[in-house]
Amino acid sequence: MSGAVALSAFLAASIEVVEMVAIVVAVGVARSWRASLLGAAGGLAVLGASVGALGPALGSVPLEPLRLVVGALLLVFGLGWLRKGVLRISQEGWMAGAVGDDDVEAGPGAGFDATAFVLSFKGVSLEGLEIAIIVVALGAGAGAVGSAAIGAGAAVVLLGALGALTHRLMARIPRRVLQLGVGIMLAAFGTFWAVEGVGGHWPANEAAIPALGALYLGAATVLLARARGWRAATGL
Amino acid sequence: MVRAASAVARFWAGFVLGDDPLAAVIVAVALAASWVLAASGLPAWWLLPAAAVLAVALTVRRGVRSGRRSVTNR
Repeated sequence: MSGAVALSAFLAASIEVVEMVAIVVAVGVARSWRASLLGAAGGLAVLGASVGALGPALGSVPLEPLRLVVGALLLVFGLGWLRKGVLRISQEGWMAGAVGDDDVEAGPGAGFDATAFVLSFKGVSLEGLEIAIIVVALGAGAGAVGSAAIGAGAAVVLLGALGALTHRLMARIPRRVLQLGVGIMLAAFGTFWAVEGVGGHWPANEAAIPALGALYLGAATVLLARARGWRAATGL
Repeated sequence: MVRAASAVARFWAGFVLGDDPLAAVIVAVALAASWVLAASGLPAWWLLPAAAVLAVALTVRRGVRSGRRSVTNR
């Protein structure tokens, strides 16, 4: 057991785990916990099969095409939710009405929420693949794959538990506000991955993700004010 | 079988295009332009966020003008 390798894997994997957990929790709260967790489980199952089949060859899997496809889909989907959040909040306000009032209208319905499943599946399988590559790269380089796996596994368990604790807090937020927030988050992750997928490089690496979130939050704030003005001008 | 394939196609079309396909079109064009910039060795990171902000601004404006709220289940 190499403590240094385990710690390095823990720290390196933590960044990916935070992204993975954020998507699963956000989709679970905003859409459907059942579908989001099933999507996460499906993503982990595909990941486990990939790791088992490829083993050390995992390090040579090209990530750019995956990042492009997943990033572009998350971005388009996130922009859709951002738009809906802005339209609803500009019409109804941030907190008007009881929590959950708009669930009946905007919720995923009684059936299985395939959209939530796909969102979580994609987030978990892509981030999980990156974690597996970190484990293989750090572990194989130091001859301690087991230690790297333990470090990365600890990151998944600890940060996953933290994510589970936040869901009660998030469940108290009105759906339209969640829709705006989750839209901003998905758009930020999607933009980051899609640009990396076309071969672009971010000036500050993963620190660009919160910066993108701030950009989209700023845009949403401006658009909320503008949308109220447009509504007033059109008499809606 | 055909019905299942049709349902899958409808799901993915709805997933990708959403309520306003304009956003998907703008993102696709911006991604293609970003790829050209990156392949030419030029900074490409700035284009997609700018296009995304433009896309959401245009689709919000169209949403307000159409006078209807989006009530789909996506």
